[in-house]
Amino acid sequence: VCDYGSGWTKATLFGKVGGTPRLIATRSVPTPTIDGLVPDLLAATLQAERAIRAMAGVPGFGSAEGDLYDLRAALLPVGSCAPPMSVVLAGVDSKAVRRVASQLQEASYIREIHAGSIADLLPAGRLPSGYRPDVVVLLEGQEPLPLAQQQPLAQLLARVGADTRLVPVLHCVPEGVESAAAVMLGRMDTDVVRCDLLARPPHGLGAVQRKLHVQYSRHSLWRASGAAQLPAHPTASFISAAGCAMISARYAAASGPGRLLLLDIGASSITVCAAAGEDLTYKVLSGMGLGRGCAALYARVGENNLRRWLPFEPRPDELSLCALRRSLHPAVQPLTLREALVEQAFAREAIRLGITELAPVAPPDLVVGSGFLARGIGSRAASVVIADALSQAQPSWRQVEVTVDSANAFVALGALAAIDPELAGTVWDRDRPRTVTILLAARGGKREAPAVDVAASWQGGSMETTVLEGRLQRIHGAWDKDTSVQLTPLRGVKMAEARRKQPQTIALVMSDGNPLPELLLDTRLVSIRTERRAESVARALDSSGAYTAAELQNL
Amino acid sequence: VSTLPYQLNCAVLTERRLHGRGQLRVGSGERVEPRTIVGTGSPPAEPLIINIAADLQETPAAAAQALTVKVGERVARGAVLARAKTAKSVREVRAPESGVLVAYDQTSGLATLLPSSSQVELRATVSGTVRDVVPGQSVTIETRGAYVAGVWGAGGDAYGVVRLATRSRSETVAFEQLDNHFTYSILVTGGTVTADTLARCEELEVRAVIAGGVAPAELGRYLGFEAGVQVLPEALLTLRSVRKDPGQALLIMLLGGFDATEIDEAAWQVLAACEGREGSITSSNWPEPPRLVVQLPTSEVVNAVPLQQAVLGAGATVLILGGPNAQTAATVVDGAVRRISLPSGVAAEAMQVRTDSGKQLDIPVHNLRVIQNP
Repeated sequence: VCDYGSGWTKATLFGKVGGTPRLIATRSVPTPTIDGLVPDLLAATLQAERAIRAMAGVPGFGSAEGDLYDLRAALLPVGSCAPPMSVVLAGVDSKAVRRVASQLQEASYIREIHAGSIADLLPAGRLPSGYRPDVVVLLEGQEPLPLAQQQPLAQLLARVGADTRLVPVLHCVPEGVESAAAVMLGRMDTDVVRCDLLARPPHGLGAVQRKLHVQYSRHSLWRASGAAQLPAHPTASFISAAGCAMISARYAAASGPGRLLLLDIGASSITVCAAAGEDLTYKVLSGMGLGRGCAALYARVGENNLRRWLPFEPRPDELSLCALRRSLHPAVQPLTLREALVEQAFAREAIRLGITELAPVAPPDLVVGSGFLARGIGSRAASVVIADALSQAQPSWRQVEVTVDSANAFVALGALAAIDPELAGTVWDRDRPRTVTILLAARGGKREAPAVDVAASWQGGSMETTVLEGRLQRIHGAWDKDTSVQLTPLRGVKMAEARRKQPQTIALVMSDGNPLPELLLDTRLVSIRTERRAESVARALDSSGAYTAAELQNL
Repeated sequence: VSTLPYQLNCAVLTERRLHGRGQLRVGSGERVEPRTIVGTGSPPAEPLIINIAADLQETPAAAAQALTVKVGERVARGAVLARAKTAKSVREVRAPESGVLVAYDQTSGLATLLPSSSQVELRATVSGTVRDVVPGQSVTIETRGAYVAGVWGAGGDAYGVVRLATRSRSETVAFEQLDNHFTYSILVTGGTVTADTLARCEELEVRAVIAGGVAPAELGRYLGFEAGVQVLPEALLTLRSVRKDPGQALLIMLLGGFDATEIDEAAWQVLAACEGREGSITSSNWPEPPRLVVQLPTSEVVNAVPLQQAVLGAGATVLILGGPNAQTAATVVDGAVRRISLPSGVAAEAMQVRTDSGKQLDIPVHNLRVIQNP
């Protein structure tokens, strides 16, 4: 499976190991932009495949020529920049439906329309076997849908997958008409458009066109330059990356923890998906992310919301330049701690924005970080980022498990499920992302300086929280000055260990190389994790200074 | 897998593609200039829906009888599509655009008019020789000379004579120094460009400005944004036109980025070789990198080779992206990839590089932009 993102191309190799289907290897490489006539995504595919082969020691596909040939046959392409949509257009009057279809057919974002009355579309063989449209458009006229049509409509929607909420329904009803199908459609992912198709555009068909375009924007997440090249290389049609992740999220929720929240912070899209049993709620913020969409994210969340996550005062233009730099060079990694903290501030805001935009959801049992959270930073830092963002967006949530999908398994297995659900299920059971971290979302009141109260929570009580908060805010205010700060030593933290020779006092020189942010990063994670299990974590850290997988399993 | 950004003595291919139906006017082997029209196309137009019955205040069936144009017939803008007479008045429906009446629906009274799409001329935008023609679709033009790719550009396409406004790659041009010597040119300045310089360029009708960088605030000031407005970064990235005066078109191409303060040495050498030659810039398709293509005389281009792919290996000259050494040129030491933990806490695959000042650094491979192959 090759997942073409605007920033990174992620390739995942599936195969049989000892007769059992497994996820063998995964690798990501930057997606190059078009330069001259180089077919960029094809180049990225080859690069990713070679990297996988080298990493996993998988036998090669043959010569360089052979690579290309075999890849075309074996590759399952996934992309955010989805192809034009396939639409089912249904109504009562087949003639009226076909008339609307002839108008919509011109739109560039529509690939094909299966149009007709409900009765026309229902017979077996009328729609391709296993067909899943990108959207179903249901047209109602001035006369409400007859009761006799409701059962066939339910059958039709079930046949194309709309009843699973994976296929959205656009329900067009004239103003003032009470739809008899509203109750049934209310259980699905339905968007109601009040429009009168007898009126002139944009009041008539124009409203439907606008909604369809919005629907397409959810799929076409970025006007990737490579999109123009896509028809020339993989022969299969593209599968929506967000759709794949949702398939996996639903499967994971149904077979595992119960309630699952997927946070995929991509280079140019933010996908937040809450799955509980068979129910799925999702929000895709297109054109926004930590790569090409970073400038758009900056514009949306604003400077002040980003500043509050930083333990230093950013220079004028520092954040906007960071947004521009990440937009121009999405694959560049932060070299200094300062750059990493700024990048993580963007990630926190991306999560907060995504969750805020999502409809209210119940507290999840498991949070899965993907995209930047899985590949841009380490899992420890990702956990802190997620915890901080959740504490802002959902302060009432207390305890969640967190994992990161570093193998891009949610998208890759979702793509596999699109062609063979049973096989995907088998692989999932063996190779799904493991839950490695248990944490509590931080408690307390408003958190202007997030590092502060988490550090305080190490002390384990609300009194200490208040006291330490005061101290650290003073540090924050005096960041640019040379000063010494008195802190209570933080047992079990590696850096504090080194300073144990100076009991009760940690002297920190305020400069660019200041270890304080690093101290806080470590401290925050430790304290979040150890609010209930401080001793065991302290032991783990004291012995090696870092977590091992076994230690984490035992926590 | 990316192309080397600065190349001399190369054969650059430029594809020009028709939008919609159209005709190409050039053949293989033909020489073209930037202004040459290589084809004409008609981008598809959005169909218009006209509610004839409602406008005539008739039933759909009666409105059908009132149509003065048959389905399939062409109509001019303002021509009468339907006319209904009553005892007191005459009601008419006119065509809002020229086009073809493609449908009339008897049940709803809606007519569909497909507007005539206007002819769009497709220009070569570069000098060179037509190498490949796909009838009705595209032409590929080969230019032998120099190629410079930037990291950001805005303002569409432009062509003109390349003129260096500064003597060094780090010197920023003062706007007072600019005179009509630069009119209609592609102006190259070392260092950064300011709002005042851009305003002066516009005044002199400079066609394009190539610089190392431009501070977002300066570009925002030139474009009339309020200071500190948070949509500025997004607005800059999606900028289609860089012009204050709607009558003037100005293109900007950055070789370093918004925080760069100079043009790197390899790029400066290629640009210096193009001084006084006519070049073309394309910058209309971000995130595709903008590029300058300059045709050089045959005597200066011997055995031109296709654009070379960048090779990240021992001896390659690279530009460091991000971090304290951002935009610093360096040389890859041994080309070995090592897994390291960065001061930022991120684990990355890195290569060792040596800067001009002799400093050895471990830099993630994704933070290295190859500017010269080993």
